Amino acid sequence: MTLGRQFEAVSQLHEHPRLIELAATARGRALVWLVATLLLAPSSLVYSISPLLALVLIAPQWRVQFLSGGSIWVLGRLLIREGVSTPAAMGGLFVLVGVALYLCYIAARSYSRLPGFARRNAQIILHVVACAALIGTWLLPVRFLGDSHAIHALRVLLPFLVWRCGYVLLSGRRGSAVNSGFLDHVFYCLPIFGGTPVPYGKGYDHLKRHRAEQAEALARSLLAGIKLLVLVWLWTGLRRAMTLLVYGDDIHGLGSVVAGYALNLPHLRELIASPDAFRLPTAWLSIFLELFAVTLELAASGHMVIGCLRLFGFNVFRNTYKPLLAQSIVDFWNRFYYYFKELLVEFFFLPTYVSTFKAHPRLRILAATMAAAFLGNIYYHVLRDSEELVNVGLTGAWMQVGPRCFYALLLGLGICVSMIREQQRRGAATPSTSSPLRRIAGVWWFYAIIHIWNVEPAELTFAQRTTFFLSLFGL
Amino acid sequence: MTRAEHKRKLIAFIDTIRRPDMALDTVEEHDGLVTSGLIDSLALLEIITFLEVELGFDFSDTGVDPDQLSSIAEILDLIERRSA
Repeated sequence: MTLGRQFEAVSQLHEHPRLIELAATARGRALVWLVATLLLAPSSLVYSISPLLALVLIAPQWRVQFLSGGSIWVLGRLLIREGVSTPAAMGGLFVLVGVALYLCYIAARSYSRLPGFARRNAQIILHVVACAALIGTWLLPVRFLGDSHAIHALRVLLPFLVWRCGYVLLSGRRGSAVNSGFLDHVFYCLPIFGGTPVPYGKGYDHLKRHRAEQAEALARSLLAGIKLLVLVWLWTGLRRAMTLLVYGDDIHGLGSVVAGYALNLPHLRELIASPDAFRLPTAWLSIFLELFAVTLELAASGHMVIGCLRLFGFNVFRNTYKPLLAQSIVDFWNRFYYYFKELLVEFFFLPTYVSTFKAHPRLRILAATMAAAFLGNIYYHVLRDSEELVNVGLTGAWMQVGPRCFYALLLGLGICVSMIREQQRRGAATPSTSSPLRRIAGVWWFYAIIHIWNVEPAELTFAQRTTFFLSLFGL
Repeated sequence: MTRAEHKRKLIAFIDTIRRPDMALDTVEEHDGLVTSGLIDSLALLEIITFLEVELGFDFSDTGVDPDQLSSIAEILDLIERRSA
């Protein structure tokens, strides 16, 4: 067997017929559980995922009920983490979240019977209510809302739940929620498999479509989950190696051991803070390495969530799929952070695309792309970081949001131009003459450059970022 | 129009937006159009436009579920549901 074939055999282990056959048996599932537990061992997720996975593997037909039980644990853990300690505050927030989710579910199930205005504007109403509640946590006196920890928890919960509730309502709009049960929606609104305010795995429709029902499909899903957890180890290891050997930072006391071998290159944030302290080739190398590092981090964290979701029998797409091999800006965007892109597409792009500029194809794409990559992107981050933004005041908030606005503007324009070019390329009689490597390099260049206005910490000003950008060209 | 006629028309359209290196007959009715590599995700927008222009669909009232455009069978189901 050639090296290429050996690599393919390992990388496609989830498609290996004998492994699928094994994973479909009771002994195979026990083995999958053991391997998954070992792979998850370094993460705190192991304490919740491992017992729940055992239950799901014993009785996969009850997975939604098991995962919904896990949702109670998720909410409890989140409230404790945010410092909510009194039984009254804890109970109050449990009831509040439960009622909010139930109302969304009822609205979705009875969607066709909602008043016309509510049907047409369900997502807008949801966000108006969520934003009003968020603003209320600052305007209303603390004694009215419980304790300060409960208010803080509410500010964390609202941006987390609002997009998931959006998916509940989308399933109502599409008519698929009619025959669904409440628990079918609870488990992805408060996901035990982890995640961020971005709903990894999307909502009811997507999860139902990718739910493995038969033993063979479940076996494939389990193996695909194991594969992603192995990749988590690989990408985390590679990222840590970068931290040690490229940046010369310390991890677990290993920094002093490898100090002599480290390149000690600056992080992008250090370059932006003091661009004159480094040579031009170092700066260029550093911005590309930053893109590589960010991709590794996102892939590792996304694989962890999707890997767990696949282990629970929902064989959904990866969050990150080889973005560094993308040959166009729009393809990179599709592969880099799939579920964030899907959020922007479903809640901003498609609604704009189907309702505006139908007679003007390019204007239609421009409007929809800017609604998603610019407006939606900024709105998502403002909502997510609202507490921090309020705490730094109006000027401080603008200092933080300003660079992201510029980043989102460049991203939106880049995606729009790329989309139109891809459409033209598809319609062209002869294929593109530029080499794939050149196209990949162009994509890297674009994303590495625009990341200058997106990189943390938010305290780096627009002027600092722009000055650094100009310094890359000797200006 | 029958499902078979819709299918014929749809396949003729997909033939105009497929990747040049992918043959149309390599994809079955239930295969994912994007996941099989026949079309890219961007081509879904052109399928939306095709449904709007050819069949007079207006998605502004119901929205679009990208999953419902994922295969030829799904698109035909969508056409049947909306035409009913």
